[in-house]
Amino acid sequence: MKVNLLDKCVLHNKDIVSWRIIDKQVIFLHKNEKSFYELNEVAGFIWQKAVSKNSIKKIIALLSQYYDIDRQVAERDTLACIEDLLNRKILVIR
Amino acid sequence: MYRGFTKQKDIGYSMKDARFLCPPYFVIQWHLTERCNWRCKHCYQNGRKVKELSFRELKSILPQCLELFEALQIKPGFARINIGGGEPFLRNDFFKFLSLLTKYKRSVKSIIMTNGELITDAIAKDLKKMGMFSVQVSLEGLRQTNDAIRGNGAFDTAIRAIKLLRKNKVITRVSLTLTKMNLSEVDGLARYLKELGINSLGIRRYVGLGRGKLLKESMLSPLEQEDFYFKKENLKKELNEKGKFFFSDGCEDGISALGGWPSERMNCIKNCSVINGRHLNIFTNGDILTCRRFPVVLGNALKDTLLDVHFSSNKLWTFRNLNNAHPLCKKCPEFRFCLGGAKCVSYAYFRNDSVPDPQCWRIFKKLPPVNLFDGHQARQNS
Ligand code: SF4
Ligand code: SF4
Repeated sequence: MKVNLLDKCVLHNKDIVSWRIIDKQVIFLHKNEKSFYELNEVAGFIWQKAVSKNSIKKIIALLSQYYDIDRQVAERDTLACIEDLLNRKILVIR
Repeated sequence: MYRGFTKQKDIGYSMKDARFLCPPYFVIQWHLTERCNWRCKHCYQNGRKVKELSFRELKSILPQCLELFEALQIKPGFARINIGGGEPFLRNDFFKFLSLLTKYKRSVKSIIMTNGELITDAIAKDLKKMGMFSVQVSLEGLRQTNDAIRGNGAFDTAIRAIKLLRKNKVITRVSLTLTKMNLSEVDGLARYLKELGINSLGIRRYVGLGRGKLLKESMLSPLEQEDFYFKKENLKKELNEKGKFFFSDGCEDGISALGGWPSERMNCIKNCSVINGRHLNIFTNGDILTCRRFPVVLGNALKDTLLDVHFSSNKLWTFRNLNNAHPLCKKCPEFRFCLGGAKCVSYAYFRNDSVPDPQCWRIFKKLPPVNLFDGHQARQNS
């Protein structure tokens, strides 16, 4: 699963999610739940890179570079975030 | 490190932009028809026929209002649906619609805006029974002045309606649009209404829209507007002993902010609800507007939701962004209260929504030329 995911691009599921940056944070409206959610800084970074059409592999590299962290740590965080959001159907694979 | 994401209720919002996701109150104004039995001179209608939504369509939109209030976590009593027109009592299914609304009476307050002509004793009784509605009747002055603006017999008609509503203990308020024609009658009208048992008079500023453009010569100058605010404060104090009568401030009264005024006054200054993100308007055909008096179309409630529009509309975020205010406003000491004046007044006057309020006396001593800001880029389409 993870290996496959690395070459993929994801984007937000427009049917159930609208999003915008508010006070420098990614906030999304879950249209089915009628609730707002806030992503933490790292998830917000991953989200913004994802919706800019970067592959997951590329996002991992960018995360590692931006926060100056090991690639493995960046990969673990990126995959945890994206899998979580995919499972909740907030993100979809392009 | 990724730690999941947080539902909005857990976020501390303070005065940042995220406050638009949890405002202290929210008002939806809903126009059910453009038909009217009167032809008032100051009305913002432009005579265009507009297709009305069917009852089934109204019913399908109503839950959206609730969803918006819930998502924004508006506390019971602070969510409001104002119902207007045209004249809403002209719709045959109006009471059917009101009955639907009563399902939400625990959380939503509702005001019906009417000219009063169709109110009967039976209707006033029904409204009282339904329990959630207050009624706002429009008056433009004492008999002669009112009838010159609203048509012959309009004053007596409105007073008859007010008496019926009072008799049936329906909370009733009166609203007046301020022009040179009725400026000198506010005092007399307020005293008369107090005698009738009315305890609230809302004084709205003139917006030159639709038929109302014909009254542009009657628009108060900035200095007259300033003088009026001072007189209103004094009258307020005089009539409000024992809390029996008050002038309700409108969202266009942000310019009434005065640094020298006591803090309790400053705390209750209202300002433009488009800028502070506490208002949406559902127009007769379902269009979602910023506001009826500053009518920018943001979507249509038959295909978009109010909640998504409130959150997603770039136009709304442009209006809310105080950096987009005019430089003259941004350097004004009252800016944090006033927020740059009333969008509706500026737009109707200058055809530009990102310029100062033409009735602001800190900038203008008399009404400025309407083309004063012609070179200044308007924001709504940017
Ligand atoms: S545009 Fe005018 S009427 Fe509408 S919310 Fe602003 S001040 Fe009030
Ligand atoms: S200058 Fe602008 S911010 Fe100041 S009071 Fe006038 S309209 Fe309001």
